[in-house]
Amino acid sequence: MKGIQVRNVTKTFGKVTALEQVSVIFEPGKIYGLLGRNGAGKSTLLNIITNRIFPDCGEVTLDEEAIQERDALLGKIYLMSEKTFYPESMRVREAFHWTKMFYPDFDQAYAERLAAQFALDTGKRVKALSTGFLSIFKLVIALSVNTPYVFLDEPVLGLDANNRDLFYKILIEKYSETPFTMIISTHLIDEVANVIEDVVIIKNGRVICAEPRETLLERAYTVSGPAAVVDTFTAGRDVLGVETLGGFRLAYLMGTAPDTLPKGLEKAPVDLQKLFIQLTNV
Amino acid sequence: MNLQGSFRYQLADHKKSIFIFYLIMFGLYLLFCVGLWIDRAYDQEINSTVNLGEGMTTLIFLFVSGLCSFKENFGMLTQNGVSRKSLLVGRILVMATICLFMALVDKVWYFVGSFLSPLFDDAVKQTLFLDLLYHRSAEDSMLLLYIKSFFFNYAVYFAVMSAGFLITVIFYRLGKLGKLIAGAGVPALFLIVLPIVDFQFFAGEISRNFWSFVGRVLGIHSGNPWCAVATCLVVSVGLMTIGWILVRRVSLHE
Repeated sequence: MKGIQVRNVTKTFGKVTALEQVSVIFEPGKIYGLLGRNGAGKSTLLNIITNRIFPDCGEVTLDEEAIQERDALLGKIYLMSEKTFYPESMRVREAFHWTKMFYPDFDQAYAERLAAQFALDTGKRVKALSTGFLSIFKLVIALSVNTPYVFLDEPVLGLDANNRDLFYKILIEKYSETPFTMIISTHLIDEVANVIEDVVIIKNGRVICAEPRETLLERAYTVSGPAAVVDTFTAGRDVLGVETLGGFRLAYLMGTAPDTLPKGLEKAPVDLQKLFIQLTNV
Repeated sequence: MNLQGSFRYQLADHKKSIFIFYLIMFGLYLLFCVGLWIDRAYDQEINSTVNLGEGMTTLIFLFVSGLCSFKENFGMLTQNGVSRKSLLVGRILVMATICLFMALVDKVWYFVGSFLSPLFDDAVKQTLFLDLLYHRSAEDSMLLLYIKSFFFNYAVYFAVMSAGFLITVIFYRLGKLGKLIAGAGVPALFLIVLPIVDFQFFAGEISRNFWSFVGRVLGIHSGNPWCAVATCLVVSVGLMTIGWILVRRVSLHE
């Protein structure tokens, strides 16, 4: 089996169970959205895959080989994490130089071009970068590193709307030129909804959904109308949640919507962010 | 293993500090030489000299370097897909290289210094680190003395740098309370509690035996510095083995 396979991984921090029996597959050449609420276990999962922390049990393989402590396999993965692990006194261009040392396919010229596009001063030291530029700095490396697997943990943290837009454009451009596996972990679901192909949702340390975005969205719909009619319709169905405003009610449902609805009800598709909220509420 | 990257990165991390260290040492040497020479030239009665020891400053520098050699490197190397094994092997190679380089430079420094010293009326002298602990044998040639001194310095440097590295790894692995206990409790135990207990209840027997043991394993009693070389290398292997046990399962702190 090609790709990254996470099998029955459990990780606890003291009394807190960050991940519980998590099994998920990340196939080559796909863009994944790793979604979950704060503290759901997204970063923990990415950190385990990249050998930064060890699971209590379970294993992670890349192309059927255990990743743990294997330089050759770890060199195929790059994780841009929220925390910066580049030395504070290091200049941006020095970071490019060292990245090239560790990842031979790192395209330094491309990184310089991206830095110019984002107006990132490569002569600056890491400690002198603002939150936004720190994200840009790490993004530039992640986009230039040319590893088969790139993980982005909160990639647009502190980025203004213009830079976020530029990032998504470059990301799609890069992916269409040479497809690679990208896992984007973010809370800005609306922004990445059209970029990601597959969705992995983690709730309280468990994977509750791992499937193509389109399939997931096709399985959900909303009905709205007078509260009483909506209640009658939803009885016995898989209701994710309801929103009520006066006598008007909106219900989120999983399953296939009937072709015809009772009079007074309207059916509509659900967007990913709304569906995520309903799936992870409570 | 991504050993080359690990080695080159960790080595580069030391380059600047070593350069600054020797720049300061050279500056101080020059300052003392010129200062005391002028002093003597103006007042013939004053015959002041300064003894710049060889090796001790390097020893302290390497210990501190060892203390600063884990946290940042671990973060950077892990960020770049380097395993803990490559990190540690790279670290050992870097320590071996740095200690070799500094032991050599210290010997060259001493050699050049012994030629320059008469030019400044022997105002600034250097004493071999080896001479602080061992009596020179009259039969030893200068070449043999240099060789002995070089290996002695090298082995001690390596052991001390390994100790610095191990301490920083221990501190990295400990929680807040553990750091407090290790940082304050351990020194207090060995520097205050143990001496008091020793002198109150054992009439200093523990410390006498300890220093006697140290003297034996370092070959001080027998005047044999090769004992110290062997002991330091064994200690270094022990320290780095403990280091590996601690590093192999260490998690990167977020």
